[in-house]
Formats: sequence, structure tokens, C-alpha cells
Amino acid sequence: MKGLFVKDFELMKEQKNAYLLIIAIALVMTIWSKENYFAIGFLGLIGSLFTLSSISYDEFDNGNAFLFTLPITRKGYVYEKYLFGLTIGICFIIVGMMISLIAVVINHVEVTGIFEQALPMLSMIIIALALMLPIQLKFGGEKGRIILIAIIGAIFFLGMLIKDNLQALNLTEIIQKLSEMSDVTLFLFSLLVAIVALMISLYSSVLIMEKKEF
Amino acid sequence: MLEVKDIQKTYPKFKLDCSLEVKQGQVTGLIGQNGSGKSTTFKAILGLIRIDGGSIMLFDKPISQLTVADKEDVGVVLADSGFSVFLTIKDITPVLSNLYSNFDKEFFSKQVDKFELPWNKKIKELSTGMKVKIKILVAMSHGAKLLILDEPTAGLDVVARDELLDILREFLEKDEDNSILISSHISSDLESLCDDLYMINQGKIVLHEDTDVLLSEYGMLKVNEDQFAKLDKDYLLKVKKESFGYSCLTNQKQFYLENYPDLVVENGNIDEVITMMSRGDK
Repeated sequence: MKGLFVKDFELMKEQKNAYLLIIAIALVMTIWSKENYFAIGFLGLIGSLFTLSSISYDEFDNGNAFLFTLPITRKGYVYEKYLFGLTIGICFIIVGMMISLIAVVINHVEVTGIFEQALPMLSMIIIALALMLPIQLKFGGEKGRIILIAIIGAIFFLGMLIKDNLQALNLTEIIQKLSEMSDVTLFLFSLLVAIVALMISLYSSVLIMEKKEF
Repeated sequence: MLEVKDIQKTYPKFKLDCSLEVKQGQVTGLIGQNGSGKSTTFKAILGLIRIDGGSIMLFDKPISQLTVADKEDVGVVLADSGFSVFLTIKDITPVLSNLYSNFDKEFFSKQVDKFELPWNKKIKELSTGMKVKIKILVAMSHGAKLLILDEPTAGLDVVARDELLDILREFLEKDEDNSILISSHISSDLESLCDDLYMINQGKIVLHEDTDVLLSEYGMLKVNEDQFAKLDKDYLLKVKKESFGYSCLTNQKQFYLENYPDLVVENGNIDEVITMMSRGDK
């Protein structure tokens, strides 16, 4: 798996300019908008997306056929993609935290809440990866993107439906309970949800890869 | 070392049904026209596609049970696939040393320099010959016991093909147990390298023979209608109607040379054998 990890890092260098641009945008946006913690969420999510582009690189020019003759397993490949997404996501959250720190200093505000902003992002990244990776692995780069947009649309629609029918679904109580939780409990709760989603996602991704032919 | 037994794979317009064997210390060639099933056979051996029936044993294990360590003992070159073309040789070196516990970095570096391959250029910017050389070097630089080479000479000029065959000979000299399975549609590449040859046509193995036998005992009879009528046809493998009469493929050249001194008997030539085996009638 380490070899694949190194390969993805080497491929990431290829997109070096894109990262620098995104980091620069995050820096300018955060300072300019005075939304001091904007960079954390923005970079965290975008960072984890780069694992999707590494899948596209692998597929390019029928590359997967050779890749799977190397001493790796299909399961190992899947695990590596999740780990890679998580690693880059976390690295980008840290960069986001640094940018937030700079923004806080420049905008002369008190340093509070950087960790409160950063930790929930971890759950967000895990959930985003859990949703996106199986789709990307199943449908590949082009089709995967369209299907992903459709799914996100569907989730929003479902969310709206639920919101409009809160009373009927008797969810008000649950939301009430959630908002009564302390930050730490809420974080742990979201992390638990994220990890369950991750497990289901990993399992499906392995199944998807094991069925694939190259 | 590798035993492929009655594997089957059905596509809407193609059916593969073949068996072959690569013995330890031997070089086995698979020849066939484009679309004859060579690549499908290779993909099945490499576990890239699922087979509908039959079995594939590699290192005495079914391929589904091969471990990562087993896979380290196989070096693979595929005609239409390789490392990402956005990487440079410098980029793939650490990838290889992390993938293969026996990666011989010194050998790899030396060969890269010997073949004047550029370290810092992306693979996509290199010539076809250079790309193939990188693929071969990667396959040979981690102590593999078996090389599986699908059309490694495709797109190479004569000089580059010769260089490639030399590299393969070096691999064989390194250890007498080293084996190669190689496919090509250019038979002259295989004539000088392979111990035995399989010919595949429309997904089926139509001939398996030792290269020496093929070259020394196979022959092509060129006969007119009269000669053909009088000919003992027991030892003819294939017959093809020509403008002058018939071309006949035999694996008993000597028999015809001795019994029919007037006949034109040409020596076995792999290309002709392929053409006859795939287009001739019997």
C-alpha cells in the first residue's frame, strides 16, 4: 500500500499549481471576508477531493490494467484511496487553521474557536469521502461526477422535504436534543456517524473494485 | 510455473477457450493475429478479468490465492497500459522501491543510464521505444522469476526490437529457472527467443510446438492439381487453394522430401505456419 501512497503523492505534484491557487484563494477570501474560519472548511473539503482526481489519473490511458498487475490487492487499493483522501484532507485542514490564525491576527480578533471549527470538519471530510469514493470507483471520473451531483441534489431535496415536514416526522424533539448537547458530545456523535458511514462505504467500495474488469 | 487449463471467457462477439503451459526455465511464445485472443488470455492470467470456466495455476497456486509476495515474483509488460504517463522515471523509482521488497535500485539506475532514458521527462513525452524500455526495465528490476510480456515489441523499429530481445536474454542468463511468457504478432521476434510456441486463432489454440521442431520439421509443399491428387495426405496439417494449385502445410517435411523428390518443399516459416493454421482448410 505504501507504494501506491507514494505514487499518489508523486501524481499530486503534477497538480501543485492548482493547490497553490486554491490555498491563495482561501487566504484572500478568509482575510477579506473577515470570515476568519472560512479557510478551514473550504480547504478541508477541497483537499479530500484530490483523492478522486487520483482515481481519474489511475484510470487514464487504461492505466488500471497495469496497476493491478503490481503487488497490490484490490482491497489494498481501496483502503489506500480512503487513507490518501483522509491524509490530504487533514493536511489541508491544518493549512486552513494556519490561514485562519493569520486572518485572526490581521483582523485583530481574539483567537477563539479554531479547534471548534476544525474538529467537526474531520467528520465532514469522512462523510464526504464515504459518499464520493464508491461512486467514483464504480462509475469512473466523468460519469461519477454527474452521478455525484445528482446524489447531492437528491440529498438537498430530501433535506428540504424533511425540514418542511418536521412536525409530521416528529423530528423536532431529536433536533432539540441535538442542540442541547455540548460541543464535545456533538463532535463525538458526528464522528461516530461519520465512522459508521465510512465502514459501509469501505465495504461497498471493496465489493465494487473486486467486481471490476480491466 | 504457469498452467492455464481450459479457460473460457465469452464476450458478445468473441469466445476464448484455451490452455497453455509455461515450464520453469523456458520461454513460451503466444502468436496470433490482432484480435485472436492473446491479450484476453494475458488478462485472464493476470487476474484482470474473471474467467467463465477453467483454471489458472501460477507458482502451483490458483491465481485467486496469490499473495502480494507472490505477485512480486512476476514482472509484467502490457502493450496498452503502464505507469501513469504523467510520472517521470525519477518519480516511479521510489514507487517501485516501496512496492517491491527486492527492488534493485542500482540495476535499475544503471540500465536507465545505459539506455539513455531521461530521468526527469514525463513518460508521455518519450518515444515509443523509450516507453517500452521503461516497462521492460520495471518488470526486470525486482527479481521476478516470471516475465509476462504482452506485445512488448509493438511499435518498435528493428534496432529497438533487437535491443529488447538482448535485455530479455540477459534476464534468462541471470537465473536458469527464470521463465518468460511473451506474445507477439511478429513471429521473427519469437523465433530466436522461444523454446516453444502456441498459436492462437479466434480464441482457440490451433498449434503448440517446440520452436526447433517447427523450424526443422514443418514445411510448405507447393503442388499443382496433378501432384496434389497423387500426394499422400496423411501428414498434411492444412491445405490452401492457390492459383497454381495448392499450398500444403506438413509437420513431416522429411517424408515428402524423401518420397516425392520432384516436389517443391519450403522450410517452415512461422509466419506461413500462422497463415496456414488460421486460413487453411483440411
